[in-house]
Amino acid sequence: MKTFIGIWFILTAQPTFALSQMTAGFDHQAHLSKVFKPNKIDCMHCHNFNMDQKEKRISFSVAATKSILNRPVKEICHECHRSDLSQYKEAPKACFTCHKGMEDIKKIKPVNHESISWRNSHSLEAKVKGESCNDCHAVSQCSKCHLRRNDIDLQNHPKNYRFYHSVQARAQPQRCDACHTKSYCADCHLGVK
Amino acid sequence: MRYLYLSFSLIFSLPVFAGLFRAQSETLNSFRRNEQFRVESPTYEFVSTSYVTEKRDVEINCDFSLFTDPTSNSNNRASLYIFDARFEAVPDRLSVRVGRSFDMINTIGASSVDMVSAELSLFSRQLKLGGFVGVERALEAFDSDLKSNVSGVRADFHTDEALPLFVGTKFMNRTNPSNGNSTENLVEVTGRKPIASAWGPELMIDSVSDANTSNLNRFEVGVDVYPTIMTFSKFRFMTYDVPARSGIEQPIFSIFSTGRLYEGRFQLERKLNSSLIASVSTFYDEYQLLPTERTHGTGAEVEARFAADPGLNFNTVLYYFDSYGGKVVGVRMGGQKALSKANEYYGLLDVTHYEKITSSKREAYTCEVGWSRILGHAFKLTVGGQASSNNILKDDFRTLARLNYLYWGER
Repeated sequence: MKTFIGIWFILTAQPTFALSQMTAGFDHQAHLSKVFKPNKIDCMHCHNFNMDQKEKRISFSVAATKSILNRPVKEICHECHRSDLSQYKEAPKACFTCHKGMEDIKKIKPVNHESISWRNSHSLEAKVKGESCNDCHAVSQCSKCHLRRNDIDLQNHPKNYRFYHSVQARAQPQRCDACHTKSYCADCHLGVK
Repeated sequence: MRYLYLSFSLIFSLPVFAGLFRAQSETLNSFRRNEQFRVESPTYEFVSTSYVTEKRDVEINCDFSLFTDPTSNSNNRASLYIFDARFEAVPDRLSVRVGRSFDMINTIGASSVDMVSAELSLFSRQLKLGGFVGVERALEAFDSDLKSNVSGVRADFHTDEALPLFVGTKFMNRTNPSNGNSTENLVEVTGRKPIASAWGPELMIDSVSDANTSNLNRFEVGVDVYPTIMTFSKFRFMTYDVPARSGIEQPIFSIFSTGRLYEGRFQLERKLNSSLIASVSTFYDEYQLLPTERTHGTGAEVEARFAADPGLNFNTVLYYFDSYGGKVVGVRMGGQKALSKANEYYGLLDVTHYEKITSSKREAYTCEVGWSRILGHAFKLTVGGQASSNNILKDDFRTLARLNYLYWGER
């Protein structure tokens, strides 16, 4: 029995690795029963409809010839799911709620991540909006560059850095302090390692 | 144990715990000769897991590594980097985090801290007040007993507008029991404001001071401007002075400098088309080398990054550094090409020419090629070989193998 439950638990999740075909999901029926009806939100809040409240009849507005929605999709979804207002606190805020799978999360990567300077300048963003990093990244992803040490797959320095780091250390002595201390130098230069 | 597992499975299948569970494993191995011409085969295993609910009211993280080398006398090592949990003690108001964390938001500096922290959100999260207390692990002696006791408070505020003003301030106390309980009191102030005007400038300021000595450890001010939608420039000015102190760890800065450093940096980046981004950056530093002498350093990098569908990436960097330690000029090139959905190959080349004041002119070469294949849905195997030539090992050949596993489970 426990084996069955364990297998069921694993199979109902969705393991992916760069090959998924996920889409940003929207469950209209769930929203209708949990959100729209209890809060008396009518169709026109999102749709370009004209609704006759007495006769409960819908007719399309002129704007509907261009779009069935009266605002961009992203704006409608984020009105609740990305809002800090307390009236929307029950709405799930995690991006993966709608953007299912790693490939879909990659599609909403912020534009500033494509910048060549992002790797060296994301520290300010982390201080100012650190919580937004967790929209897509697990905290453990920070440790890959900031905490882990391995001499096989160098994350932060190029392969030849060992041979010219003394020049750069004398050009920008403060840069080393971000990750290293004096004891790190002693490991090699004083023969500790 | 089986009932614990059964309970865990049943509890976390409930809708209220709907969320995302991610697990990653990375196994690294290399076969090579060291500087004493002995064969070594270091193997690392990095494992990270995270779980977060859809409402983001519960979060659990874990990250650790294992190291072994059966061919040498190196000690096996295990390191726990992160193991923490965060939960909303009062929904939408009070959040608590417990465990070993990497918490850039609360602490000053990037380190792993065994901590308890809390955050109070007010005015629709525009104002956040936080505090923490913990034990900080020494940065370079991660697995040793060298630790500091740390505690601190912080306050962040941002305005509710399209281009918000952010102001944050932190205070952190660090006490070193192994060094006569010497203390350090740091204050950090950070600000950022984008401005709606031509070129869309974003102003930033960040400073760290030592309240005990009234020393301005670091002060940085800068502006990012966007002349066009495809172009941005970054200007930074920084002053830095962190002297040797009575703490557990000493800054590397204090090896080279006896006084204050000043730095100016500039970067220009342009997206030339949908596939190509180019960047030019440069810096100039000046600092106190000796009590009676100042010195300077400078450098520049030119980088181009090309990415095209399907699966072709190429990156080139030209770099130059100049200081009283010597001169360096070099080029790094790397690329990846997908052969199919599951196969890709990669290559990189790093050629450096350096002239140091302590040695004659030298070159260092590194070349690496490899192949990756996706196995099943969750595994990726990468194998490669690296050839290097430098003043330590004239002919250095080594292998590289990496096995990645990724589990992405949504419920």
